[in-house]
Amino acid sequence: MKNPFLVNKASLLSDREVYNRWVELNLPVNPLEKLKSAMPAFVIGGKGCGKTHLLRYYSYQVLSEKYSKRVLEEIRRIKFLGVYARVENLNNDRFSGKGKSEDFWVSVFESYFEIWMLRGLLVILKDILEKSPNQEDERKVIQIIKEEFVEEDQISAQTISEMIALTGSLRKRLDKSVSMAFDASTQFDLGPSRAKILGKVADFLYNESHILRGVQINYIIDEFELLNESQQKYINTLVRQVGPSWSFKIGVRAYGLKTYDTLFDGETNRPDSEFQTIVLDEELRHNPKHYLDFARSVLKKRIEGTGFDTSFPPQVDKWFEPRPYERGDDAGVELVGTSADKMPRYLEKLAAKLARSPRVSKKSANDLASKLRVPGLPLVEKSLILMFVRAMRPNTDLDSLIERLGKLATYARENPESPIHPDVAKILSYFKEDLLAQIYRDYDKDPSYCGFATIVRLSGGLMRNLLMILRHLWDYAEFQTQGPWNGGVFSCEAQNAAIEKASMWFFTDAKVKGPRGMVAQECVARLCDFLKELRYAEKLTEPSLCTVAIPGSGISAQAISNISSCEKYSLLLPASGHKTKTGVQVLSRYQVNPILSPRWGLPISRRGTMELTPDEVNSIFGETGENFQAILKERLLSRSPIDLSENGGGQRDLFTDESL
Amino acid sequence: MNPFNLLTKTSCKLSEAKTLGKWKLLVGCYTLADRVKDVFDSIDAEMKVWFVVEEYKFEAADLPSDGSDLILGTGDGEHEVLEGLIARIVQERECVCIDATGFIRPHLLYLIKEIRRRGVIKFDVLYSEPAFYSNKESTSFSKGAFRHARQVSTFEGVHEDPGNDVLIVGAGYDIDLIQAIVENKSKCRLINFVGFPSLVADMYQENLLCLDKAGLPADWSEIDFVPANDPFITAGALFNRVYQLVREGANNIYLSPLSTKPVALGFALFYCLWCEDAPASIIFAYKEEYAQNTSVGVSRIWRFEVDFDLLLQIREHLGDIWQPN
Repeated sequence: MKNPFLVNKASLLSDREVYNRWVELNLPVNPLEKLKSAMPAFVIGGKGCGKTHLLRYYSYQVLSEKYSKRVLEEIRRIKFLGVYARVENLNNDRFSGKGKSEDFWVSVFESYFEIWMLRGLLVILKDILEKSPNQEDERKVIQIIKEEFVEEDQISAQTISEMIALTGSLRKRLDKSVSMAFDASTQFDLGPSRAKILGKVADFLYNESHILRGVQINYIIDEFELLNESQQKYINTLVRQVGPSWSFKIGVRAYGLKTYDTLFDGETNRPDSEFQTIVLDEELRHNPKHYLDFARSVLKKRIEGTGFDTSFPPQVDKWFEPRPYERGDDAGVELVGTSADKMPRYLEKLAAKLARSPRVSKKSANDLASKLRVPGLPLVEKSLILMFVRAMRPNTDLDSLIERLGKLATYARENPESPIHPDVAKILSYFKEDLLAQIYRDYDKDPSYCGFATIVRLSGGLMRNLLMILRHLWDYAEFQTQGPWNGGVFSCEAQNAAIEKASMWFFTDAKVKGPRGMVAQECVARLCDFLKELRYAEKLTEPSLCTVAIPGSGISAQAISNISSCEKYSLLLPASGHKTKTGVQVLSRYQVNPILSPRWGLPISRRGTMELTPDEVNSIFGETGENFQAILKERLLSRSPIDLSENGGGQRDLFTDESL
Repeated sequence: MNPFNLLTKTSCKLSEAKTLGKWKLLVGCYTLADRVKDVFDSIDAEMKVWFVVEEYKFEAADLPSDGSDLILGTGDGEHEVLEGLIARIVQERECVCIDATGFIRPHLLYLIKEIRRRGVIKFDVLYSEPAFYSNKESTSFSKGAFRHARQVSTFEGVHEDPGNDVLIVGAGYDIDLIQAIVENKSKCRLINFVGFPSLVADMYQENLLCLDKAGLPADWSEIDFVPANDPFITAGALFNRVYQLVREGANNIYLSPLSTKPVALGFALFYCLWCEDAPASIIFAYKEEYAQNTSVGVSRIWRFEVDFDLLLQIREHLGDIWQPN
């Protein structure tokens, strides 16, 4: 059975597939209404958030798939005609260098771009005129275009088809000239004088034409991030000059938005003034319930037509095996077992550390650790260890502390129906997931990320992440000959393997985006290393650590720039405000993109926030990660009151009150 | 018979390098690899020129001191970087040998096309196979940050409106480059040219591992096999594939040679013969830096006799690609 998730890029879909796979986004406040408004709009988002699918959906070509012969009627109704174009097809990098000045290339690019977009509009007009012929309108459009050419009388085109051919020839002539631009003898025929030909044609159609009167022409430009700064300035200049008859809808990845400046000195476009913005993945993340429903609908659409969609369950979540420890209180027992004879590894470690203290003999250490035993309830045991390390002070009476905690263990053993003492329940209410992850690590296993809702949360609002996971999952399950198509489910093993692959793909993808992407990747890797060490430290202070708060002062310019890059590449996601415990003003708060969490065994749900110090921020987000190991060690010292390292070197030992 | 078999290629071991021929001018791009330096020393040529490029980040003290001429390739874009070397080759014109082994691929492509444009019709190209790559399938040939992915200078096509566009990648070990190119042309149908037979037996498997790490191929039916050490068969394979694609309705063809230098040379020859003023471009992902040494030893040295007169006859015999029947 063909993998229905093989294609996970909207750019690879046909117009019909774009239409067929469309799923309405039923958000409480629909941001997509901005696209239908007359004002220019930038659709900003991470890679794979759905920008291309969205922009193509509003194109004339996809609208034609939807309405067929009635497309003109629909265009007149919504007063919107979308002329879609992808910057990738411009091969715009060639408009630079080759011994020519930047001003020269801006000039060439302006001409090329206008011919290119004009051609796109003419192709659509040709189609419309075939459905609803109007010679007068056709003649007038030709006339307007001819008037913009420097040598108008040289233009013999009489019909839209001939004008399309002409623009094609002009473009190809420019292609050849650009290719040989390093040769000083190369001539450039720049075509129309750059008098805003796109606007003039749109003005006529909107104000005077019979076929499209009152219809705004929307030039939809996708992949704006591929343009260099000068080219973006040029487009921004056009955005500034739009009128009621024409507008722009522009798709761009956050890291690729280089400037809002225009070619007019000192003039900059501003959000909500010259344009609106839609940050697509943010909208999805801020509405998790709607995003989950949306994801279910997307999955269903993909499955439709594969051959087993007739058995599609009302609840797709049932296809995904839940985590082994969804059961509850005895989570972790699948690893630790229930035998009373064998000490769990984490209690063995505790005993070993206690035994290093001169106050405690080895036998005593084992006895002390045994008092915390609750066979069959690893989470209770881990909670008691956490309570122990949190309570440990230099002068703590060890026996009394263990005695007190031992009573909680006894309570659990003697109350099998309701083993969780309120004190333990309080710990678990905060740290259950973290303690479980620690149990898994103690038994040399990675935490498990399973379930459809978990996978959706992992995608971080980027649909392509979700599709990537599902694609790998499908392949893996098929290889194992297990899956919903033969009555099975997607096993946890398959889900985790798929997630690991998708996570790797997402992480390494930043590197190919250029030097800033690479630096961002390195910074986030350091941050994740930092959070991982804290999550698996003995003394947990913040639950579910995947979010950090950046202080408002003491941060280097380099770190601020790199944090911004991390955000633009969607490696870090902005999180809403936070009141610090320390009263320090917070600059911003970020969550590690959930898709990265499995690589480091981090949680995916936000709860606690790690307040980073300025030194930590400057190290983690510095260009080279200077002093990173030192600042990590310093932070960990406060998390390991018993003994951090194997040889006990350099750590504070509470039992001897000596700095080792 | 495959007409590309008319073109001559010979090989020998390093110890027999002098049997490959004698040239007036030998040019090589300097790296620290045995298969670049040792071969350069062993080849019989009246004049030897080292071409040194910024991408290898050599310090002055690293540069060769064997008395050979040095030409430094600096500047913005292939035409600036290679102008000095091209002028030297064009000056000698006859009996020129280019050791492709150390060249950065876009430089090699531009060099071949430009010297031909300036009248150097016949020349020889050498390529030395390694005994093995230093880190097997994890060998990274390029390092550091990406600059950009773009068309190679003078390999910029005259493209049609986008439609059924195709990207043909000669996929090698550089996962980053493969990902960058595929990302750059994300809408294109993707066809992979995989080196088989490979230079050394297990390099085929290593290559497949690299493709998998790059997230490719999505569809195994879109893989063609070309010998990793034969530019002429590569050019022929490209002809066959592009011919078929055009007849299937492909609008635009993008080519990206990311594997061995012989395969890159094959892409260049194919382009020179069939793609001038056509809707085809060669694109490459440019990086800031390349590793100075990625291999160990010399397995054998190949000599490819590039003869554009003969190649044009082959073109004449095979006909035009771009006019569908």
